[in-house]
Amino acid sequence: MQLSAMLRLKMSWTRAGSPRSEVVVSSRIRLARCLRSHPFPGRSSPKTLAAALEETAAAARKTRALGDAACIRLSEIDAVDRLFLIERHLISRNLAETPQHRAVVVGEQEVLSLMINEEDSLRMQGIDAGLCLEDLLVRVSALDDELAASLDFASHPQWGYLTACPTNVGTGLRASCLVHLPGLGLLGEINPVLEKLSGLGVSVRGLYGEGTKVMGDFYQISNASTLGPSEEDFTRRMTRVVESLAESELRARKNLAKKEALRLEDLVYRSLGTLQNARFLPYEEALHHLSLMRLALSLGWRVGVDMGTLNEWTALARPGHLQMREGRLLQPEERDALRAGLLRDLFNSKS
Amino acid sequence: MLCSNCHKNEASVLFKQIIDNQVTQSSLCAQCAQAAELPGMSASPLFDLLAQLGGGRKPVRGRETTCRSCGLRYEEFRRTGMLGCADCYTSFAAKLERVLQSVHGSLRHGGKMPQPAADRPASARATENAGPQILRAKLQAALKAEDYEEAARLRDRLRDLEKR
Repeated sequence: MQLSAMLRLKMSWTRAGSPRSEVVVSSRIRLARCLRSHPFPGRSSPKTLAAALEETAAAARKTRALGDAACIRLSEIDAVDRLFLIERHLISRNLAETPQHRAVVVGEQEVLSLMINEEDSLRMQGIDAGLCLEDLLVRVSALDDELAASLDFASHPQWGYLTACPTNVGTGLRASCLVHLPGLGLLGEINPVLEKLSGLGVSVRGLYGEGTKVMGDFYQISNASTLGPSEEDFTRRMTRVVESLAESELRARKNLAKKEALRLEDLVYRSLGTLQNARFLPYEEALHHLSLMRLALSLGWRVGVDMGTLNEWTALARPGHLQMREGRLLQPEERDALRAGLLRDLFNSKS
Repeated sequence: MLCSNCHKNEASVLFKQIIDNQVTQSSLCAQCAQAAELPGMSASPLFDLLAQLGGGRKPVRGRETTCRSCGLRYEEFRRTGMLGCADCYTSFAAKLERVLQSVHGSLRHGGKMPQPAADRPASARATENAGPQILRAKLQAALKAEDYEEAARLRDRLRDLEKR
């Protein structure tokens, strides 16, 4: 499969106008499952991994959701392609680092996907725009049921689904939202808000998964435990947490626009100036400016691009996407120059 | 301003990081920022698990130290946080019970299960509806036959019944 063709396709999760999309960029539901008949992938021989891969891929072909989906074997694509898939939130770094006998099945508009032979045999995912955890759970759970018709998943009468790491046992569910909190950040209120979350069994991470780095005021928040409540309960709780977080953020933005209007305008238009003129833009700096554009847009200010485009550029400006666009590996400096040029074109074209 | 990590180079990056659900900021030089950017684990559930498993305490007591099916040693699990196969959960059941309780604050799964009872093999279904007396007899038989996996399943089933 030519992955570069995916560059032209829209990722469903970047759509604007979905529920709470001013604050919640995307929602994601992940279910982890292990095959009962084999050791977990980390302890499987290459032969067992190959067998598990074929079994799982065959089971996926029988499902309605992923029946016609592309099955991408990671050993058949190169490092540029793999980085590209990480940046689209379709595979983990873990999967990319050990490509042999690993695959990802990608459904329509990249909403549903399935990683094979990650830490667990199967990692099913649903990702879409705005706050939509409960809808996604229905879709991913239906996929799980269909797969369970042909695969035997490891489980325990009391502990539910068994996974390689005990932190995922039970439901195997991770419900997470990518939230944008520039208002709370600028007002210096982010820490008390995040502190409150840890008391609610919610963990906070940076933009791309496990790392701890914060970029552009984007945060990944998810349920910390997986055993006890049902999938629906976990998902409902997360939805409530995210809703109240979104309210705090919107209140903060209103306050900023009212009390610190000039300071905010200054920040926003300096950033716009940088996006329109810079010749070198590292990703982190670009994301900082894009984050301010996103804030301005939500306050009804005109910055020349729309919300969906901004969401898309959080991925399009990343190194893997730039390299995919050029069809070759790029040095950091080449990437920064290319990124600056593309963003210059974008922000000068409509204003 | 000098880098707050190495105190040698000029700071050029405002580095933000989440530690224990708190955003901390530091002014770093380009090199230190790059080093700090390596995928950290301090915010991941696995990291917390490993801290708990290591923790400098004495190894938890319990008879089984090796999984009967895949040969994983409990010590390896303590180091990596990863189990080897589904049977590890029965091999290390007593120890894992404590781990699960402290990670999740619960020992009872309340969500969906893979198959409805009707689809399971007949023997499992028979156990599903059996009373405690039959289960105890089956447990004795399984222990005698050294079928520990089946024995563990029956024991769990018995516990389930007794809790009701």
